[in-house]
Amino acid sequence: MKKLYCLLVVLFTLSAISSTSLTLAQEPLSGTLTISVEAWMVEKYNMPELEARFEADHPDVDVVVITHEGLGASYLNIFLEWAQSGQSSADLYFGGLVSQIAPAIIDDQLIPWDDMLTDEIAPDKWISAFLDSAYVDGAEGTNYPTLPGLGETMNFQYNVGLFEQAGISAVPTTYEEIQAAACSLANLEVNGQKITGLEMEYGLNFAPDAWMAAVIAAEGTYLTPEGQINWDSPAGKQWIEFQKSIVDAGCGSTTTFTDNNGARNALKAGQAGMINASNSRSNEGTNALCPEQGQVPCPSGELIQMFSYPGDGGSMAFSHQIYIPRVSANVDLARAFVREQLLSEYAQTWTAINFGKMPTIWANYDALPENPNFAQVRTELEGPAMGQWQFRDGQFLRQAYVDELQLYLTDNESLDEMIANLNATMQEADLTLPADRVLSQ
Amino acid sequence: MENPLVHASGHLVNSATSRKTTWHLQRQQSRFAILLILPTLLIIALFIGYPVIYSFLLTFSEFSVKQVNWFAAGFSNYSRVLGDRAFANALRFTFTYTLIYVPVSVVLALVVGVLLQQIKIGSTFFRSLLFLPSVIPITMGLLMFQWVLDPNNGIFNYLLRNVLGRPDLAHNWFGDLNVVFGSLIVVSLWGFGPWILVLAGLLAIPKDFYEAARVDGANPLQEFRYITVPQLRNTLLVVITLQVIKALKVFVPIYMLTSGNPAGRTSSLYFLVFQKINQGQNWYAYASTVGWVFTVIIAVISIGTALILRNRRDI
Repeated sequence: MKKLYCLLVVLFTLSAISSTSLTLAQEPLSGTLTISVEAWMVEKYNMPELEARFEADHPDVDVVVITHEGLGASYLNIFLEWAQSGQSSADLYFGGLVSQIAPAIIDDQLIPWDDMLTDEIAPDKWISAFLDSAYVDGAEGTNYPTLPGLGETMNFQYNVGLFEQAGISAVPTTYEEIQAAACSLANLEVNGQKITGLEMEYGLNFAPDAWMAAVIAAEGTYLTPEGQINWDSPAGKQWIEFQKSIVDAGCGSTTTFTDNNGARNALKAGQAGMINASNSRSNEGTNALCPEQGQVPCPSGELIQMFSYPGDGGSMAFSHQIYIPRVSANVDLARAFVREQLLSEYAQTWTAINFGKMPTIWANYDALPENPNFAQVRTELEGPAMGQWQFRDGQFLRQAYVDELQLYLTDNESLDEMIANLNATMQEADLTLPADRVLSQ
Repeated sequence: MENPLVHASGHLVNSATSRKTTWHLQRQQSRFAILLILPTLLIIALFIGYPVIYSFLLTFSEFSVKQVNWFAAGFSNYSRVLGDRAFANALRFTFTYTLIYVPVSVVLALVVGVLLQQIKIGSTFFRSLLFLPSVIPITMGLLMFQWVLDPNNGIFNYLLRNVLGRPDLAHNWFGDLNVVFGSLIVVSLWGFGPWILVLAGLLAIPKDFYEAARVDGANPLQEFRYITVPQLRNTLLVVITLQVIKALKVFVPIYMLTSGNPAGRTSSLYFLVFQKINQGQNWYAYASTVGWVFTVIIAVISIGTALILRNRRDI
């Protein structure tokens, strides 16, 4: 009798607990969710639609999207706001690359996502090239302070029509072939004006990433075994020499020295035969050149197509990160929005089709329509791929690389001097990594 | 014996009472004056005084997102800045830019001012036309130049290549180290310099001087040399001072057109501060130090200019 009584008590307790948790699980979400998105991403990532969908699914929730300019001081100011006021102007942040958010990760300002990475968004469901760049070594449960929202790879892109006009029948696979193609293209005239054979990235926007991609494609990593940047890498030197060779031969311009958008604009205007850039530029180019303006995808097909860096088919993969500050006032709503909207098949495929920003989860990638460019990026993601460097002084190192590269390309220093200067710069930089963080909670 | 005074009310009052009343009144007025300027003082202290002092103290400190280690850096930020190649480049660019931009802009303003003074027909039209760049936002004007001078699709290179048949003259105007400096100067001169101030100075010169000179047989060049220039001297000195300060603080054309490139060779000191702040919080102290070194430089130049101005006035 006593045993039966005990059993009943246990059963009653268990049922009470389960019914409570069920009640909690089913409790409707409510409140205001404020999301900060980089200004340029609002349209490209279809935020108004995601906002409307989430509000429709959760009638008691009001979603407010605010914007912050990326690539600049505003994100640094946000980190200061969190640290100094203990508050945050948004509950959820979408934007910024790992290299930019590294200071916030190192200062342990972000809530890890680890416990949410289950089922369809378990770590093995992600494209590892993207998720790996978000991974931070450390105690279990703290390894993912950010998640990759949407990503890109670096590669070469060419104007299919101009390739045909120049009589280039095969996609180049070596630097020599790329240069030969660039110089053939540079002889073409469009609208009575000679075009540029190959536009490359020499500015802060992508120059370091282009170097990383070249080294990854050839050597698998751009880091030394000690975790420093391998400026002495043979593949890296080859890449820099290749860039100079293109400039010196007059087969490429130096527009991106001062205009970050120079290459993409030339591609969109049909004034560049090839560019070396992030993969979404091909999408932009096709949409701009499409005879059936306004129709996406372009009924005439992909007018701009891609090919990989010489090497083993890999590349540098970067992504725009999603993160929640520890001082967020609405963590549950933020997490729900990420799971239900930002990582949804709809969101990730919509932006890939319209703007070429690629899904970070394989299932969403599989849901994309047939497209040679999507297939190309997939090859690069499956090859040796890795993300940007994550040092606290990452931006300083990027700027140093740009300055040195431009000095070399303009004959103001030799390659050896450039490499020596970069190595010296690295010695004075703060190379603290996210993995070196001291966890506060 | 006390001197009697007639009070405003008509009563006689002695001087002690008068002094007391005056003192009391002055005290009341002072209190009221302080009360009036107090809000302004508070705003200045909060938004100017506090950041200025904070940034100065930061130059001796270590800054991180979570804390400031006051005075932990000693003078290391200063030695770092003074030994930095980026700072040396920015300093060189800023001074070179100032040395070229100031005389060119002042001469241009003088030419435009004199022409507008002399013009007899359509002076209002031409003044309005020349005033347009002053009312158009500078960022819009610079964007226009970015398009016009675009190396691939810009109309300027198109004209050189296709109309004049001189493709050798076409350049990457903001990306070529050989021409970027000149491009920046030319673009900065959009608006023809401070011609409005110069014209105001010219119009203030009495016409009688010119008429008398003509009676004496002076030609236009002599009028310009012996009347216009001496009469305009004080205006020109003010204009030069303003232009020097403007040139030393150049930022917007660089931010909009070159981002300090190629190879960091068009980075001004102002732009360097901005660039360093964008590199992360551990560069805030460095950026503050650049700002303060720059402030000292500007102060020295301003004091020098003020001394020259004073001496000129004494002549």
